[in-house]
Amino acid sequence: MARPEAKLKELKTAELKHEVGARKDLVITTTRRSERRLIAYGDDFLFEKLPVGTRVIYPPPPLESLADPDQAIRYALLHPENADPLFAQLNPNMRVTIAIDDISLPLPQMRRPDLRERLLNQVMQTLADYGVDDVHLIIATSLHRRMTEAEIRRMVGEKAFKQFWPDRLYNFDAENRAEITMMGKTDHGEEVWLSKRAADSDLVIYLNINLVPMDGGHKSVAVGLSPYASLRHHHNPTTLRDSHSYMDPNHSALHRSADRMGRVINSQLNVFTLETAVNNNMYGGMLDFLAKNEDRFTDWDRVRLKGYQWTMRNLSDDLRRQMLRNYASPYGMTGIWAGETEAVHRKALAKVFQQYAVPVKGQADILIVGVPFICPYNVNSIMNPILVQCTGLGYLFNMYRGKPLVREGGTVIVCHPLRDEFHPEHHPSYIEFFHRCLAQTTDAVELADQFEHEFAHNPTYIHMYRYGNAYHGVHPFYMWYWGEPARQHCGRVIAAGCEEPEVAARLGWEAADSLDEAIAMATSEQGRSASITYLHLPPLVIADVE
Amino acid sequence: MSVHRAKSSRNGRPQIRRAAFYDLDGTLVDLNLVHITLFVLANLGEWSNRLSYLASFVARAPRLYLAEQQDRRKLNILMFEAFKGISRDRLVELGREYCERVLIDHLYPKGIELVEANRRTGLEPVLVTGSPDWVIAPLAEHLNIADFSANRMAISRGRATGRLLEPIMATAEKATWCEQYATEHGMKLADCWGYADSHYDLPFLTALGHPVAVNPDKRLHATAMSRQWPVIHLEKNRNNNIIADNVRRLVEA
Repeated sequence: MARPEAKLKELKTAELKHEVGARKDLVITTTRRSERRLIAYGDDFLFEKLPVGTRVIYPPPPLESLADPDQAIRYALLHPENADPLFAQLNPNMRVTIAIDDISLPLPQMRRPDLRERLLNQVMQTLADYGVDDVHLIIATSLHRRMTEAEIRRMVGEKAFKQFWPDRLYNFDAENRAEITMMGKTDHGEEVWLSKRAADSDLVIYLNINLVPMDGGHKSVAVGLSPYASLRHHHNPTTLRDSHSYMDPNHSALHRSADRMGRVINSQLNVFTLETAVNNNMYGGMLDFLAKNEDRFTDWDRVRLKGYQWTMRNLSDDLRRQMLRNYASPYGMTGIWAGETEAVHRKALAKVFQQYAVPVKGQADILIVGVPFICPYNVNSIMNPILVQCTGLGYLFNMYRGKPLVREGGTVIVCHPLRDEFHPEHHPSYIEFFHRCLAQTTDAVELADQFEHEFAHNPTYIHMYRYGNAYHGVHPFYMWYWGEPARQHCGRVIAAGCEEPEVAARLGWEAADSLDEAIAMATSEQGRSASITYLHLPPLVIADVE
Repeated sequence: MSVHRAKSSRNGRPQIRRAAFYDLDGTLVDLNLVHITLFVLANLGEWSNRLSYLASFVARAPRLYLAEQQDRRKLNILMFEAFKGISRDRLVELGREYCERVLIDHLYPKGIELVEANRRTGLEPVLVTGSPDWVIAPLAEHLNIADFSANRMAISRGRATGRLLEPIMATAEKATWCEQYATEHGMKLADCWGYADSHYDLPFLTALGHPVAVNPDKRLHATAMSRQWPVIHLEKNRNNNIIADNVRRLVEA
């Protein structure tokens, strides 16, 4: 068997260019003979003919996963970046806090064992070997909803759950003032608050999964274990407008702010980071046709697609959601690095880009994206209109490096049914935000000025966040701000296949019954020669736009 | 004539006057009207007197159960009949004793935190409950709540007649009372919050701009989910046990 370090070797820039160059066939242009294309549409998929000349960008094939993930983890712990090996930092009297990414990634959930379970088992074994027993496991939820007991059990595995739950394995509570402490301020005046348990620890170990390049780095600790008082410095319209894009940390004001905060934390705490990269093997088995170029569909692929569509359309809403929620992706780990946060993150980022990056020449007048049934904030929940907005304009629009896929003033077509439905227990403040705040203005700065403080300090929402399973009261604002760069950049947004035009209007979008109608609406303004690009996902892809 | 001067909020805009209306039984405390009634009847005068009142109450139980299934207003009317003949002074005294010795211990701790947190954000707390006013008055005083609406009993020659005075605080009357209260205090119900636990409180909750279901019964939970209202769950004070409390009190008596 190959030695893990051989698999883990960092990809050099030249190699990366070669890898990316070999993927030119991932960008195709449709002709009259081209097959219809699959487009994510909520719980379902559209299968639509796109206009001749449409550029379709496909995700690269999954990278080969590491043959023995457990061995690779052990290797990383023994050979960290810019840090002593984990065992060398331990002594029996020390206090250790292990922070873990929550279930907002990977999406969909990964097949068991979850990567976090593997990481945790190895780290716990090392801690036990060296007699460290003052260990707390904190799910780094920040302002996300508390994970349920069942979700935590599935994520961390039986061993850790039985040993630590519930006294020493718990969700981070950003509203427990007694458990939050201020670490100082950055040179930009940003207040850095952190979990008190983490701040009082001799060693903080962060277990991360890098699904996209937006994840990881200083963002893990400085955001995951922080309250509103810290997050408000970068989760605001001004900072996010200066982020081009979220998937390109070097050009993202959001990441620069998180990095500044992280450095304040790391200057006072011993943070040992474990970052992992996964491939984009999102759909395996019976669903693997979803990642294929439709021109290469076999009859069997078409049968499976028809079967999927028939099933989705004939199931009740509850059953359909249940089925989709239960789906687990066969993600594979492509790399793991441990040690000092920034050194680790550089290597993880290179691997993540190796998986997702596709070179693309030039911007388009019209960008088509399909919003799927899931995003980081509706795991085991409902995809509400604010989250559709966040996914379409926040995430999918930002799937680029260099320039956005759509030119300034261009049109984005978002395919989703857009229903006025919310999960009252998970997203209570979203409901008021949608019906009350957006009814008054869609301007992010005005929303922040008029309503953010009220929602952030609303006692009912805080109660639901702390003791229920609700996202924090301020979270819908962040979701709205997330779409701010796209709103600033694009001229129009059209919801294709929109079932409730009032919902689109509330978001400041136009509604079209079908994708054809949406394209006709867009070309009526952009002209018949308007260039169209369709970003074909899931799985994920990041366009390197020249 | 009084003039309310609008206070300035954090962002410089005039602060809107708002209130948070709270149902009591099941919403802020883990007790209900039956418990109040039993406490009062079990603490009346001599043993023989207590037993006759309690026996009378037990005999009324099937009617109470049926009323509970049909109409909360009817239930209140029937329940308060049990107090017929008790002197007002005794009721006031027992109400205070019940509040101090039982009710306060059974308040949901997180519920009270919520009341105080709402107050800090400018939501004036108001109790709207079907419990008797001689229990609610000392509780409101304890919680520093200036305004409340509770059921009032008709008193004749110093003794309870067993009849309730209008408006009887149940279902739609609660909504009407809130509307009047908001008008009198220059508020809009659309800006106010309401907290309740029972589907009988639906008219009350729907009248308010921000309804919240607290520990909802099955039907209210279904409605809350369907209308996308926030649902919160408050936990009991674990040190409390109603049965143990009652046994202890009877022994003490």
